[in-house]
Amino acid sequence: MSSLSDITSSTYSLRDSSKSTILNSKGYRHIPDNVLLIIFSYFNQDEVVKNLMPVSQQWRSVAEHPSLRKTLKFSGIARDTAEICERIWRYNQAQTIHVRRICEPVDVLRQICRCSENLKHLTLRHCPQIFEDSLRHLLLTCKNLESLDLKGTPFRALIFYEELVLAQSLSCVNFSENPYLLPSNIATIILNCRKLTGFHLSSFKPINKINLTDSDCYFILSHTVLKLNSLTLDCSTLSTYSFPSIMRSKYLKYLCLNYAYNFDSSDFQDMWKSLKNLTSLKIRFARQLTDKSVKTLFMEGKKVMSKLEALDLTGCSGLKDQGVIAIAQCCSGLKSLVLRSCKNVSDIGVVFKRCQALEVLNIAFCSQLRFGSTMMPKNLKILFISDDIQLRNFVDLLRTKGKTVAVKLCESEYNKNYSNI
Amino acid sequence: MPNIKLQSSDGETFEVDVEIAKCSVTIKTMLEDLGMDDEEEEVVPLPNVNSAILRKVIQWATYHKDDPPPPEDDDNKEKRTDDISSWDADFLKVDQGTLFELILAANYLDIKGLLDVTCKTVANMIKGKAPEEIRKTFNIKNDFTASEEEQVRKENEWCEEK
Repeated sequence: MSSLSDITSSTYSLRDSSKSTILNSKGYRHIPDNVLLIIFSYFNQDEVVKNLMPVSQQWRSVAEHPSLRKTLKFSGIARDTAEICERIWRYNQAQTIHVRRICEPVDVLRQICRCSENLKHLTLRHCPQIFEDSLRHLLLTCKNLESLDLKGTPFRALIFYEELVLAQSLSCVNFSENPYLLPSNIATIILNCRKLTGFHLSSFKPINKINLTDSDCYFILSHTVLKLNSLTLDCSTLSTYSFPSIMRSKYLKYLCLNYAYNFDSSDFQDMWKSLKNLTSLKIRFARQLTDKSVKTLFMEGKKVMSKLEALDLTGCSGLKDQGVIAIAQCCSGLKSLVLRSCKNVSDIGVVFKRCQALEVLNIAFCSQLRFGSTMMPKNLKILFISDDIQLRNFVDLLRTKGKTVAVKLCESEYNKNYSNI
Repeated sequence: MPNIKLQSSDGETFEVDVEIAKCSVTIKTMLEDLGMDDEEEEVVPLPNVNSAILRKVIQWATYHKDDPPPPEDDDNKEKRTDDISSWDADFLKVDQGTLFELILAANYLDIKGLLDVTCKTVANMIKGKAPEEIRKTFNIKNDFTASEEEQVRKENEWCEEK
């Protein structure tokens, strides 16, 4: 990858094309393009497109410089494939490409292989039309790939997982929600990705659940234990004994355990003793967890757990108000809190009071939840609710008080679909 | 320590330590290419920089003469704008016109450190502003045609799901 100074002086010689350095005493109109490019390099991509590009012709032409496009995002079936491919070609220095639910992913992937040989991060989610051959081609051409996320993109594989060994820089993979993935493939992935620091395998939908055995889990963890910093697993078929071994991956920053039915309260409340770097914790459907164990974790482990920025306890039916109070008193830096389907929580006023940084809150299907009129979330940006009368009333209350919160209505307890209201 | 004479566009001459003058890649290359190293009486004309700005540039270069060379730009990291040293921040407490001229001088003289810190200062002035506010701040004319405005709006749509 060439640095910005290389780009300005050689390949895209803006310095030569800048015509005038004659001063306009009134303003900045004659600022040379190469200088504008340096100024623009201090902005993220969204700022460049939203705020800088619309200023003037000159600003627009500089804002379109390929070095300012590190990340490309293509999402939605209404996107035209030819336009997507044109952009991949135009911005071929992009290091990150996110593709989600588009109509012709095979063509797009082929274009990525043609143009983006320096690609580091590829996300290709919810594109069911993909074939193994396209992905094998990707491994052969994008040699610098560091992360590959194929969540929700099912494909049958004969040899793809063996060939992961070709992607020598690959350190983070997500093969979630792929019904064709077999437990034997998991061993192949683990053995062929030698630099793995992130491993994600899950499904939110019960029908696609990945049935891991204790020995699968042991295999994954024994080969990665001191390297992993992010881990997602479906735990529905894991016994109580697997959870302490998960807790031994002591460098984890991100931990997500779906269907943690057999996660024992005593293991849960002690996790802070080994996992000291957690910033995201998602423990879903851990029905054995008691309110007391949540309280203990967040009180005894306060020093460690206070670093959390995201907490998700979806479907942890044992959670009650004491646990919520302990969470709120411990995690003042929390940005996202998901209490979806926590049916025994009745009061979250303390969360609004203590967690001032909270931006995302999910309280869908919390049927016991009641609200006082004085409880107001301060910086909340997104609120997920379900179609319950008391949750709808709460939204009305927020709106009459002039809060501008994006409200999403969750469809069902069994999937993640939602609509904006 | 040998000195060199720099002449501004309005005819004023400044005597500067050669090592300090060489923080400008333009001057350094000029000296090397023209072999002016030992000619003490030689005057280097800088027709694009006036005396007020040249004085500021020399002041900056003198203060920073012992700085280690600036690190290579790292493409992966988001560049910060909140790490301007307090000396530089004070030095750059000038009106917009002067700041602009300093940028042009740093660009012409090819002094990376000064160019970076002045551009950073301008970036801070832009941060958080909407396009219309930016135009107002820097007195830029909106020269888009209606169809171009439409194209820019479409470009913005690429950020959203379709």
